[in-house]
Amino acid sequence: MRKISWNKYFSVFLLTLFIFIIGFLIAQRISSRTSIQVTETQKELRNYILSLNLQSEIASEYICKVNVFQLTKEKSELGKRIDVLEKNLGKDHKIVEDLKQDYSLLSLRQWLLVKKVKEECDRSINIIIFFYSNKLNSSESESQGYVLDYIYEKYPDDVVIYAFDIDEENPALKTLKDIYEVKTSPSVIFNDKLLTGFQSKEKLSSLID
Amino acid sequence: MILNFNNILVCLTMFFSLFSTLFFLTTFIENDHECDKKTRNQKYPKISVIIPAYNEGENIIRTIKSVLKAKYPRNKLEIIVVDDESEDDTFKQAKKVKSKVLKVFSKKHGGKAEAVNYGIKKSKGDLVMILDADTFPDKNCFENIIGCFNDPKVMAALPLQKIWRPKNLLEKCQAIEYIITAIIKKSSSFMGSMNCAPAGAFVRKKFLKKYGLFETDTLTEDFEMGMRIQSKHYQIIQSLKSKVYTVPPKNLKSLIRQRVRWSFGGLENIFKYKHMLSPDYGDLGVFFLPVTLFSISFVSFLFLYFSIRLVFDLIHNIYLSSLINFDIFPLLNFNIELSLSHLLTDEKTLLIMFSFLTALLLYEIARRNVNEKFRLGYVFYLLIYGWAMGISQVIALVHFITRKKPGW
Repeated sequence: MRKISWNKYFSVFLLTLFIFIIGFLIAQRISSRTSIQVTETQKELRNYILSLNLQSEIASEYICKVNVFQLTKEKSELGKRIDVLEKNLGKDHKIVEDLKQDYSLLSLRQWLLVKKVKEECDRSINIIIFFYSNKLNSSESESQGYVLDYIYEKYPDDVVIYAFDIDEENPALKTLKDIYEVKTSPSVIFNDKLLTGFQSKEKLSSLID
Repeated sequence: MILNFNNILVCLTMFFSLFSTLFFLTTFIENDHECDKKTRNQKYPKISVIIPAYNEGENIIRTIKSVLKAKYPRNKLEIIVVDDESEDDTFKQAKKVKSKVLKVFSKKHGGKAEAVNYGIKKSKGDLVMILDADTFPDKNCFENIIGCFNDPKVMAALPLQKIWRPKNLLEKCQAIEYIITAIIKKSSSFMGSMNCAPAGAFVRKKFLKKYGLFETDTLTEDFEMGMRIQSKHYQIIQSLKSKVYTVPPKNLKSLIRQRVRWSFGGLENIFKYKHMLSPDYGDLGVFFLPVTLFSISFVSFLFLYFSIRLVFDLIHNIYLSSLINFDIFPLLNFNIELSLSHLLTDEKTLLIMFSFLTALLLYEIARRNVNEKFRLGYVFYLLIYGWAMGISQVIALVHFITRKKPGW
């Protein structure tokens, strides 16, 4: 009868498992630092919404002094951080969902302010609202998102973009959808005009003042 | 980390590679190098070096001379060159070397295994060494191997294979690979599970007389001989002190061809000896053979899966960039801090690093044991090799399933 080293297989298996678990624990320890980042992002978002509320009231008299593009730049930085969390934690993670809802509220609040600046100060700002979906026509939404990212980076001093998940349940968002009669995704509202379906780069560029 | 198919697959792969690395590493460290024991006061067995040669006119003299330079009593050594009806001047070249121990034969063309068998029949030694014309022994090769045969259960012993003067990157990668496989083979032989007798192997003539010469209808008669020795419950020993040098495939294409042949031969012979996948054959039957089968299929699967994914991602990205007329420069302001934090907080990153570090440790220990320099090429080794191995395993598997032998 030839030798079978069951003990060896078992002990090496345990050793591997041990190293694996250590790896996970260390990684978790590092990502617990991200969870601090998460709470920070949450706090920052809330503060933003609050201060935007205040800002629009304070600014009601001096509204034309608001630097719209600085505001949207800060907002989009926050958005990118949420994207990273989404990649690590998953779309369905509770924290990610909460953050995204807060982010939508912030975007809506900012959109109102920017719209007001545009109307009252006669500034040339192109306001784009983008409704995407991760369920219906998700690949078209992705293409549209890609093109809009490009437009935003290409015309940083002319364009502000707000993106919303069409499937998100949120009374304020519902009102917005009703006003512009948004029914499907992707949909783009370019300066109050509804464009349904995918919009090419050429078309969007030609609409910019 | 999200539990999706991709992540689970990466974790499984890392677990498997970590497990095998640790397995061979611990086996190697645990055991003494008992078979390499110095062989003073030992009787010298007669060794017959068989050199099958087909169109090797350029190398044959060098190979014969390298054997003649080896330290071993002349009356205990014979060299048998078998010219397999070469189209060049192999026979004439071999005849040029003047030595009492050299015999040169020429026979009708019939392939390597037939030439080897022809040589064995003409030989008088207790041990035969099968030496390809592109392989040559180190000067202590014979002296250091005979100790392995002190144990009567040992029917074959393998010298350490080294790459002869690696020049280009691919050759250097192979040099590193050979160092690592030496440790893996050594560990396998510690566990009585070495199942191949490749270039440069020494085999007891007694075994060949009793159980037959090399098979002529397989691509890898050396695998077959290894499995045959194991199937009779005898042992094959890997030595680290006795060395042979071999000239490696110089380009990727011939390297892949070689590996397809090896993988195919492995599969073919495991299939032929499938009754050995049983506890009756100890560690070989319950662990080494099943793991070999699993590795070949798993590596093929990984290669296909990740290649297809890569191609799809590429097509997708090209499609997206076409939407903006490939003017991608405005989108390239990528944020280092963000991507770094994404990478660092992903558990996968750490697992991949762990596996990489243990693989590096295996290389370092192997390197010390065979007195080789540390080569930074290791990093390339992982990248190029993973790809070349993957593609050759897939081709071998396809050949095996469709029952079509790969070409030479």
